[in-house]
Amino acid sequence: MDELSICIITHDRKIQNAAQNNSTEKKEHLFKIIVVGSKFTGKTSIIRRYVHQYFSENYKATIGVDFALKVINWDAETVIKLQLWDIAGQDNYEKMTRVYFKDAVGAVVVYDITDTKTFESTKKWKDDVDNKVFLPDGSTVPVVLLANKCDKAKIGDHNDPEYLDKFIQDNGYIKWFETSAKTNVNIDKAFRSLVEEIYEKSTKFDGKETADPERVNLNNTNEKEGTKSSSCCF
Amino acid sequence: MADDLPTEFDVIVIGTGLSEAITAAALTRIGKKVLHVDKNDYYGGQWAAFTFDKLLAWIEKARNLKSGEKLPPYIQDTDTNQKRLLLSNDVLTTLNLEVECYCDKAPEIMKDDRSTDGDEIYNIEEIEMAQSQRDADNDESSESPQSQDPSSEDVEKTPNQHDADKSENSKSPQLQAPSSGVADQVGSNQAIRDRTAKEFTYQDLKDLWRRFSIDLLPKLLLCRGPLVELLIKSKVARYVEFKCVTKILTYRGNRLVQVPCSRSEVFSTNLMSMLEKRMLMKFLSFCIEYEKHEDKFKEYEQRPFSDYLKSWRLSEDLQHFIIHCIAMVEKNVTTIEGLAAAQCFLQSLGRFGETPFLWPLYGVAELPQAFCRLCAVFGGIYCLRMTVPSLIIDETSNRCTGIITDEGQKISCSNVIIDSSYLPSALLSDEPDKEKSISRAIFITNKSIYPTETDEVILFSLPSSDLSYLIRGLEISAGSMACPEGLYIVHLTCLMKSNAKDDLQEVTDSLFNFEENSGKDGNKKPKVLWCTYFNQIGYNVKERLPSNILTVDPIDSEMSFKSIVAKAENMYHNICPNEEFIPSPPDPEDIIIDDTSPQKNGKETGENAGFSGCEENEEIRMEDNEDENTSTTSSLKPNEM
Ligand SMILES: Cc1cc2nc3c(=O)[nH]c(=O)nc-3n(C[C@H](O)[C@H](O)[C@H](O)COP(=O)(O)OP(=O)(O)OC[C@H]3O[C@@H](n4cnc5c(N)ncnc54)[C@H](O)[C@@H]3O)c2cc1C
Ligand SMILES: Nc1nc2c(ncn2[C@@H]2O[C@H](COP(=O)(O)OP(=O)(O)OP(=O)(O)O)[C@@H](O)[C@H]2O)c(=O)[nH]1
Ligand SMILES: [Mg+2]
Repeated sequence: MDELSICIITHDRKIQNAAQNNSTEKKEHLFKIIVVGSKFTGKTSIIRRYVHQYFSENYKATIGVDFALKVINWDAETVIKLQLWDIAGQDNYEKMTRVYFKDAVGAVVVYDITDTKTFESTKKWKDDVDNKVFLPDGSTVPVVLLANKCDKAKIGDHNDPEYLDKFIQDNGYIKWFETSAKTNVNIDKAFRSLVEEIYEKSTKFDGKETADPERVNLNNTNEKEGTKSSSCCF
Repeated sequence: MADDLPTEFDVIVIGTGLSEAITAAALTRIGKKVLHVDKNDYYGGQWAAFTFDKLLAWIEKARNLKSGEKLPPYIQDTDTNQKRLLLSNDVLTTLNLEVECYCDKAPEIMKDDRSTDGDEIYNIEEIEMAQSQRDADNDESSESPQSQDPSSEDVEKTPNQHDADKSENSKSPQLQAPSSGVADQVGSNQAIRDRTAKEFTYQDLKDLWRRFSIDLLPKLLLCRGPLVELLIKSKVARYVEFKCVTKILTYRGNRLVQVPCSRSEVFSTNLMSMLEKRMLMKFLSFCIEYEKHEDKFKEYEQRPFSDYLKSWRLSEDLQHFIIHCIAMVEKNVTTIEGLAAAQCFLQSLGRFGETPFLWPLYGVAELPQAFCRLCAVFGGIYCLRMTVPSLIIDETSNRCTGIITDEGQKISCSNVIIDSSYLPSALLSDEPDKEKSISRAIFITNKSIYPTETDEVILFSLPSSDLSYLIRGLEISAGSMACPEGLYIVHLTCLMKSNAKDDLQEVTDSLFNFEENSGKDGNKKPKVLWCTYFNQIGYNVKERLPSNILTVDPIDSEMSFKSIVAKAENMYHNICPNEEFIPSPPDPEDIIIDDTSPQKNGKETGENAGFSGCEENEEIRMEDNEDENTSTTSSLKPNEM
């Protein structure tokens, strides 16, 4: 699988670009994935590792960026673009704006294996995701659980694989992975398995997701008429 | 809770209403450090939208809130020359709340368990189960024939609304509801038909809770109004989608008619004579560029708009259209205001659709949240469910120097922006300011007020029968993502006159049926299944506050967003006099993440990294390179550390 890492681009321009770039009629999918979890668990590090292939102990936060874009050449006919949304400063009380969840088709819940509290709060995050995003059939979106910082020593019994196996079943995750953004353990694998699940579901809903043509997206400025003077009907 | 908050900010914003959210976003956008808090655990304050269960919870909470004693607003700090301004949590922003439910066969009277002390100033009226009243007038209905409906037996067991088991309710999976899924609009026509064929019960509404997004403060965006321009410029538009209002209605005689919005609609309408059409076109053409013809309105400029219209010798009907449906102003506005409003309407026509208005999917409450997201993306920190007990005022400089959190932590700042309903009641006027307060009603109905084949967003604008004030209505349906298939939400709004129910009763009665078989034309009108009335209240701030505390009214009575955007811009320029208001963020596509920029001092690393302003962080370089190929694959230099 050939993955190119690409910087962050906006939704609407991406669609235009994609249309222009694709000379070889590839089928393109855009998936929005949200990455949630308590502070300091490594969400940003995981996104950076996955999208930009690097890790830094003390990189500085990205200001002014909504999401990172990862382009995957899934197979010969399919390109998958992932928008990975990081939660910006809104995590302080673990209450996200609904716009953050809008149109997400998958989620990653991250906890830190060295901090038991972050494991406990995964429940809240999972509930938040389950309550705010749904697939077209009304079902919840696929979610993976990442036990991050596995390069360090675990603290707490809950990191035990058997416990986690049961835990994810009980809590409706599709899978869990021990990851390290630092040493690049399982990051690609975790995202791949999430994307596989999303992709499978998306083929099921293909065609059903025809957007309401009446909707107005100001960013694409689908104005009926161009200039101010000509736009007036009178 | 807030143990790991930084202790220093440029601006602390208290309340997440729309103007606060816009200002907060504008501030972080240029690198200011902003802490944005709200006492509720939802965004928006009086701008929120709720699912049905949350709306019931909100109502319950608002009904039970009593205004506290008026305590002295300040306390002195003994050992410093500082005093504390004590904020309050019990200023009543919602009054005269009433709930009525018409969709069950066996209504249970909802008792207000609060003691009604005679001396209570703002007496929230007892919730009245109107059906029982109306039943009394109409004995037949108590045994009306729908009890064949198999579900009605269950319904009778329905626990009364306020005892409803909230937790059970919120766990009930949305799929159990017979209605089709949110996005499952395709192929669900059968379901809709089945649904409309069937009576909705109160339990249905509760089962469908998730499909509702019911705004407290519905408003519409003018397609060329300042908010649309701001959404585009700030790119906040990427977080929100809209639908165009599809129809504008008004009453003529006792019939709802469609207001013609375009040249072709004017010519095809049968509501006016050919002569009237010409007069109207002539007047509207003038309105579009009225500034160029000062001679035509100069002498009327400050006189009533209605007098001016008479001077054009427009018929009564045309005057009504122009005042209520095009300018959409109250009758007493001046000519210059009326012309400006009509011009704004006309300029917004045809930009995105047939009417000049846009409605956000999921409701207006998305807008404050979208600006909060922009603020957060630029480093703003959000704390919901956070009460701020007091502001610290330095008496020497008479400036606010910070806040005290509920854990006693001091957080300093150079400016505070605060929703005035957080201020101590002693600093607020005793009575609501009626110019800043509105009457609201929300109806859930089973049918559109103007049924058509398509999914509509309908605005209607109706004068009260004595023509003394204007009532705005908005009907939204499932396509707006704000209510389930087969149901409609109607919002009514007007300036507060006495109380919401009295102010809106008349229009309500003309629009809806409350009984299944009331009157001959009864079945034509939509039936109300459930409704609520309430007033949203604004007060005046009586006392001058230190100049670095900026106050915001919790709501605003305008139909559109002009004054909200102006208020936000004004607050922003008060704090940052010479800065542009929300410059366009760089297109993420054009950003090069360059982590090789020289390290600043170590304190920014680790968990504080996210809190610093833009300029101290990664370099964001703009490539104004419009070439698609290079801009999509902008380069990324790996960190060299
Ligand atoms: C922008 C947006 C996008 C959506 N996208 C989709 C989608 O793609 N697919 C889909 O199927 N559905 C979608 N929905 C539907 C949405 O998921 C449901 O409407 C949502 O889950 C309902 O929860 P909420 O956000 O209203 O409440 P929450 O955000 O959960 O409520 C906020 C908090 O406020 C608290 N609260 C509420 N009322 C009160 C009160 N009166 N007093 C005290 N606390 C209170 C609650 O306890 C809660 O903790 C979307 C909704 C929105 C707004
Ligand atoms: N050892 C180790 N450290 C990690 C790993 N992932 C992240 N970290 C460190 O953990 C800290 C927090 O990582 P972030 O990526 O900023 O975490 P976050 O979840 O984005 O944090 P917030 O944005 O503050 O909520 C940083 O110092 C990272 O270097 C990992 O896999 N192993
Ligand atoms: Mg982060």
